[in-house]
Amino acid sequence: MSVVPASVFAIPNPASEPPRVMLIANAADIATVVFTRDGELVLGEPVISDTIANLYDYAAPYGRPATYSVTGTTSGGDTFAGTVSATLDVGKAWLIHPRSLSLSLPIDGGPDTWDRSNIWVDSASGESRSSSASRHLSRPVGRRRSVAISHGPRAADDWALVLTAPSIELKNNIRALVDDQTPIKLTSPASFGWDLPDGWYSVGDVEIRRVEDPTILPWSRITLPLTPVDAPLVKVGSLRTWQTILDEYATWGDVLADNISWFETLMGDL
Amino acid sequence: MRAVSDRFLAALGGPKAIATEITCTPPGGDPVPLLWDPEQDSGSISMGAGSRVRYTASLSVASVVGGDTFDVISTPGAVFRIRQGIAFSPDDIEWVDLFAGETAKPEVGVFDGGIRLSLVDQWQRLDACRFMEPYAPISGVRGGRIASAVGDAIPGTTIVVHDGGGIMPGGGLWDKDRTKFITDVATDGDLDVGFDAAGAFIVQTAPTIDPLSVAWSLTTGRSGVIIDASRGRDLSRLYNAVVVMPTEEGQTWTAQTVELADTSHPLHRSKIGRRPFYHSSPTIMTAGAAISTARGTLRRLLGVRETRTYEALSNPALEYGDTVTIDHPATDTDPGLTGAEMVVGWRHDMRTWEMQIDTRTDDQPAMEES
Repeated sequence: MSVVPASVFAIPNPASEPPRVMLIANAADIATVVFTRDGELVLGEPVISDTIANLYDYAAPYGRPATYSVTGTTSGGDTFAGTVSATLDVGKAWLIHPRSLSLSLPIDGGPDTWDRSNIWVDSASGESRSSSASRHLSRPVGRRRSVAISHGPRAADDWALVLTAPSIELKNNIRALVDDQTPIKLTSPASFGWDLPDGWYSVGDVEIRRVEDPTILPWSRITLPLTPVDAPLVKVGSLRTWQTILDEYATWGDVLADNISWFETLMGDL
Repeated sequence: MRAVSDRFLAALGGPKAIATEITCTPPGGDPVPLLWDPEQDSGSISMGAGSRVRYTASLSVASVVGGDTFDVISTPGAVFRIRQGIAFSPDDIEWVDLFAGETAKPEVGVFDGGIRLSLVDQWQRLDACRFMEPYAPISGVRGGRIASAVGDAIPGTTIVVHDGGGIMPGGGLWDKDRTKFITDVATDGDLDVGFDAAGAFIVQTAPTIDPLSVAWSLTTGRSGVIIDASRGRDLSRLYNAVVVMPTEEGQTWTAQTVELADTSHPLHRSKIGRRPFYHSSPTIMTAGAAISTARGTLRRLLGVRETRTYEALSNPALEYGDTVTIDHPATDTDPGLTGAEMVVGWRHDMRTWEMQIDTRTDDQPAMEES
């Protein structure tokens, strides 16, 4: 078993919705491949096509460089590895649904933006935080003070993200995003300087309040209680199926002409 | 007591950080870690005196996202191990084994993935792995015969024979119940048998209170560990005579009886009536040995039988038979608690690290008629 050369590319696409980084590994006869970002596994299953392995990273940080590493094996049992850095410069904060990416929503354009046609983050967000203790207090007979035991570190902060939706449609989009209770990813550009930590969150009991007279202004304020959680395991299904390919293309030649790779054939236009 | 360091013992009475590790190992597989959240999940481990099932555990764990945890934990023959430790630093954890055993009926919540586990030590497997045909052991040291019976049922398990328990004759016949064979032989040899917290099968003489070898001190006061205490006496099973009877054709002696003669004793038949205790022995070889066994049994049955229960800061390294000292001054309603006692059981709360400790003030184990 030996180490074979490999090329690694990370191509940011901030215009994609949601924003993403396309990861490409190029090596001979790829059998297995694992992409990591800053030491953490990139969610999803890479699509391997002979010498190319692709994966979209939808959980990349915005506005600061991320280091991507790839390790893998070839069908001959050789190994390959590589590293590359990329920065995904995005001008909005997003809530990402890891399995149904189309449910993902931009939620704010930042402190210099006054856009009241889209969702924005209310100033009540993160107004209070709680970090629960994992401990127990005992007080044996005769002692003045209690004996404390603890189990590991204190839990990461729970807090609430408060969004204002200026239309019924946007309100419903937020409801759809959290409806199946899959953990979602909050990512905001580093330039925003928000004191609202990026990360994966499980959303608790959602509260929706009307802001104004609904016959005049259909604004809603939606409170999403957030609890930090580990990243969910994700198997992003291909966007095309065999049936959609049959419906979309008349001949195999048309498939080849319209798609530069198997990854694009499965996942749609790059 | 399980082997722990002095710093571990010193830390038990003060603030401490707890680490927990729970694994499930399917037969022939690798240990699979189980998720236990001290804020969300319950967890307790109990140790009880005597033969048969000694360690039990009751806890809930969470399913691992993306895996089929229930499939792993419901694998027949899967062995669960629980240990907790004191974390002196994140990289310096002193662990103590708390439990090793199996589950009989695991359950999982379909919607929340919560798994509820009732675990018992490997005595459950000994019960299930009955003899395929009537068992007639060869003559030999009782401890060795017990070890053979255990090793046949659970190959590869660690068996530690500290004491032999004397020679037993060959040729007795046990129908199919392996655990009855083990307990019969252990009783006749005055042996204490059972699994320990790490899953090893231990054969040893019945433990005694040893004031020179104190495992732990239970005290109240400025550095005390006792949270609450109670005492009681079991007056439901009182005896003043013992009848030892042969059970096998090869035993040529007749039933032997020994009775309490001291008329001043509070259990004399003049005070509570004649109350015989029957012991059927398949391995005693002579009438003299039967009388000796009867006298020893009567001595045990005439013990004071005061049991005490303490709620205390936990010391999960305690084992059955450990000697602990007690020190609590007299109050207006109680003469106080002092002296050496024997640990006969405990219940350790994995979350609070508080422990209910059951002790006995005399050496003599509770006996069951056979």
